[in-house]
Amino acid sequence: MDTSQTKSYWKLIVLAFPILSKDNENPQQCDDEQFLAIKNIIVENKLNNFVHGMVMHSIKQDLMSKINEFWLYFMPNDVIELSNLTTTTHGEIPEDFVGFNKFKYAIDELFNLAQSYTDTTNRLKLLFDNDKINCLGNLNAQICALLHSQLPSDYDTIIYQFYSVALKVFTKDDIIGDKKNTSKEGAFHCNGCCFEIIYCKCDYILETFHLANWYMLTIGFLESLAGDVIMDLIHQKIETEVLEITKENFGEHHVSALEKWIDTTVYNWMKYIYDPKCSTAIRGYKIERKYPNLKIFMRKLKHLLYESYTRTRIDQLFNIIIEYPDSEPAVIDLSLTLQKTDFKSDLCKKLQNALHSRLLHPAVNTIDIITAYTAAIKVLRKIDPCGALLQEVTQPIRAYLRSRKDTVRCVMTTLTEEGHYLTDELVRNENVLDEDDVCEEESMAEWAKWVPDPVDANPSKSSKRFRNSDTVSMLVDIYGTRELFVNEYRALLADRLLTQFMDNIGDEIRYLELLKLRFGDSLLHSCSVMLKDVYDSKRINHHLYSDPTSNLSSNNLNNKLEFPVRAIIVSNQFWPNFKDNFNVELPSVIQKHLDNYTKAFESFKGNRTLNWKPNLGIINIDLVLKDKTLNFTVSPIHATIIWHFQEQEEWTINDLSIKMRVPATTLRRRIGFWQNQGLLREKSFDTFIFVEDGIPTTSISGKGNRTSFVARNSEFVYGDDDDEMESAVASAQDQREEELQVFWPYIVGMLISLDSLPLDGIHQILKMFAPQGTGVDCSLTQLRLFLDEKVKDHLLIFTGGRYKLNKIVIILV
Amino acid sequence: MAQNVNPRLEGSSSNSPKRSEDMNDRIESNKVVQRLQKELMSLMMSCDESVSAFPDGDNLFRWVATIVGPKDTVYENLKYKLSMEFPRGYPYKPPTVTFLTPCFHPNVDFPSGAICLDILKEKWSAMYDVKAILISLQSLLGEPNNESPLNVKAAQLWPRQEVFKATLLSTYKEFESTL
Repeated sequence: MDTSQTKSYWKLIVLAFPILSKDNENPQQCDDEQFLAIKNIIVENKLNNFVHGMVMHSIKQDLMSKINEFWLYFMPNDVIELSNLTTTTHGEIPEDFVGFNKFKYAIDELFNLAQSYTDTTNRLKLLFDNDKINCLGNLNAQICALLHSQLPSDYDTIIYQFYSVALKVFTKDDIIGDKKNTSKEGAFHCNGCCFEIIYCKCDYILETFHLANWYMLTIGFLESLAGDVIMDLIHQKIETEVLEITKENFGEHHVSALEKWIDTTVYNWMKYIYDPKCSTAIRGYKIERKYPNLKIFMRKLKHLLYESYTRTRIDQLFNIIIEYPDSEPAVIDLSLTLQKTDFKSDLCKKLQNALHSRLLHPAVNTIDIITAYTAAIKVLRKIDPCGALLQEVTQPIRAYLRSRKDTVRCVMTTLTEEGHYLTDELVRNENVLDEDDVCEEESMAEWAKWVPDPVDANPSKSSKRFRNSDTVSMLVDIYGTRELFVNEYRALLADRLLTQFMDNIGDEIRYLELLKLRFGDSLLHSCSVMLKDVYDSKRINHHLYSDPTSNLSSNNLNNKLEFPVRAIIVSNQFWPNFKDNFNVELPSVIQKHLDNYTKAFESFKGNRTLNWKPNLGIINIDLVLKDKTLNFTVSPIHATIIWHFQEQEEWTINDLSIKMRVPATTLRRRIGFWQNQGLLREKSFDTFIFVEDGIPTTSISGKGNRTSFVARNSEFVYGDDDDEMESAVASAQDQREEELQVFWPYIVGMLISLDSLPLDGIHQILKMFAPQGTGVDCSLTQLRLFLDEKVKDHLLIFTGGRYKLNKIVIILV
Repeated sequence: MAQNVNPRLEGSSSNSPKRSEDMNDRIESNKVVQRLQKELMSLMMSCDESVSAFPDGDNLFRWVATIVGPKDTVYENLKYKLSMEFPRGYPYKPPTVTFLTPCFHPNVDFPSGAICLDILKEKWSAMYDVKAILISLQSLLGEPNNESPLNVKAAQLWPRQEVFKATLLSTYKEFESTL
């Protein structure tokens, strides 16, 4: 092939593909007929591959020189002047809108640029018989590659603005009617485009938007250029939507509404972008349906929705728990979405943090913590029925509650309080059996329903206990032992029986029966005895007053009763120890009544007698003053105090203390009660006088009894003692000290044989050999306190970290 | 001797010789543990400070006991430690009791501490318990059985109480000083 022929061929080729000519300014172009001839020449000479390569190369060169302009639009404002934009708009232009327009122009230009190669590529295509070479696709890929190779750093700000403006316009109809057009500084602004209403650009924006998307789809780089931004925007939109909807609103189901919102609103928008129905764009191009898998995309979006919903709810979980059961719908929603997402560990951590900062600190009442704990149990069980989550999250609460002294008391109070929700719980779960092996059997029967712990559960702890246990057992499990609760219940019961006096024994019996179902008969045996005592006392009282042979009966003439005495006769063995540090000396009149009662009891019961606890019980007194009668129901000490003031109007604390055999400090506290009533006044330090309506009375008279002390139903308790407002019964804590005394002989025994032992040695041996069934479980700290007490009493010697018996004591024995 | 046989063991072993040998052993040792625990409890609660005993370390079958010499005898105020080892067959078999503190006594072997006491040997009965043994030993201190002495020297010295006491105290002090 000689040069001249080559040159003529080249000329023809250039004529067919003007882009190859070096003279870009004035390219000559052949018409289609000429092209067909040229094409034949090329094909004959098998130059088609060469021509294709050349053309593509030239296009690439050409693109490279022009494509920079595209990115110029993405530069900050001052780089490119958009004078033509600003002049055509009216009023203030929102910044986003500038970006919107910039992007639009950029896309328009790019599209035109791409369009300008269409002829060339079409011809190129004709060179090949088959469709193997996709020239258009190659070209588009080329454009994309070039664009990306020159990507400026902040390219997505404008894209972002473009899509957010469009999204805003698109969603403006979602905003509720009357808020549609907000008035700002006197002028009405459209909610969609932020322009004043009269210059509303919404339609323009939507049209442009469709066109731009269509262009990008045609070129094929919508996804690569704007995909991230679209995703991001939708994500944000979902997030704000979820936040908006779920804000402090736990009482409704939201997930289905949100799903619907995604399926309609968001889906439509996605369709607008990826499948634009643009009327002006129909120019004979077939839109390549690259996104038939919009459905997959929607699934992703739904997952995003679940995730953001779960996250929001997890952040609010503490409030949800506090508001339970009002927040039940939120809990159910959360349990659904949590299954679809992977936020369990997140939930765990966040909830624990919330608990720590909002619940588990000294400023919160124990009762509130318990309430929150029970709510948390219910909520978490709903969310995660297997209990692994529950165990993990509530671990710190249990640990904290263990450190609170009044936990046991609070739990037992709430359990047995009338109308408390925990009481209902107790009633509802009547048939819950407590023995572990029973649980085992039950699970054997339901083996088919068994599901393993979830994979993310902590494998070191068995969740079995938490699977089957109800709220009440969860509470009782705080300490891991039932004895503690039973003892506290005993103390509470004793307290209630001694202060409320026989009124609602029926209720108490019912609670006791309920508790028995849970804790077992043997532990609550003493409680049954206590209730029986009270019941029996009632009968004995009745009998003593009605039996004609009794010296208390009304038939008995030598017995003029000024007031009846009713006693609660308790069996010392079964009642908790009463606080017993002093016994008040009652006025002789009262004492005589008590003695009378004792005699009646003795004659009734044969060889038994009563041992009165005069500090306990209540006295109903009428104070007859000059012009009125006051009625009080007070403790015996109070009554005795005021009694003494009827004989002598002025007492010093010391005198009264000697007279009543009550410590001065206690006395002062009780006098405080009468001071509050305005009946006693501290005249000078430690000296009190009786006051009647603020005027010191010189004589309080009334047929010999100046203050007629009519104890109508004075009940005294045979047992032990009480301490005003506080409990009459030593709390479980106090009783422990005494229980530890059981170990003392053992400790002596082991120290005689083994000489000296360290603290944990003693503890170890006690654990091994000490009597088990007593229910006494002694911690190391308690043991140390106990032993230190013994060291103080010179019974033990503590040297070199070991305890030893004090030899002198032993030899003296 | 018939009383010193565990009736349950005899009965069951004849019925099912092989099967439950192991099982029986476990049940038996469990019974022994229970019995010893009960004895320990009653001993601890008896508040008698002149005799005392307690398991040595974590082994319930090996106790260390302490007895104080009875009043008005040469042993008055002397404290003796003993070791008691309970066999698996307890209480049908007697425990092995030896003095840990060297005891100069006609019925106690001097260096080894072995005791010659009929109730610990052929006259043992399941009715006895730790406390009974210790009290018997306590009284043995004051009333030795010179008929069958283990320590001949002590038996010979016993009639002369003054000399006996001097020898006794010197051995006791010798031991104390080695502590």
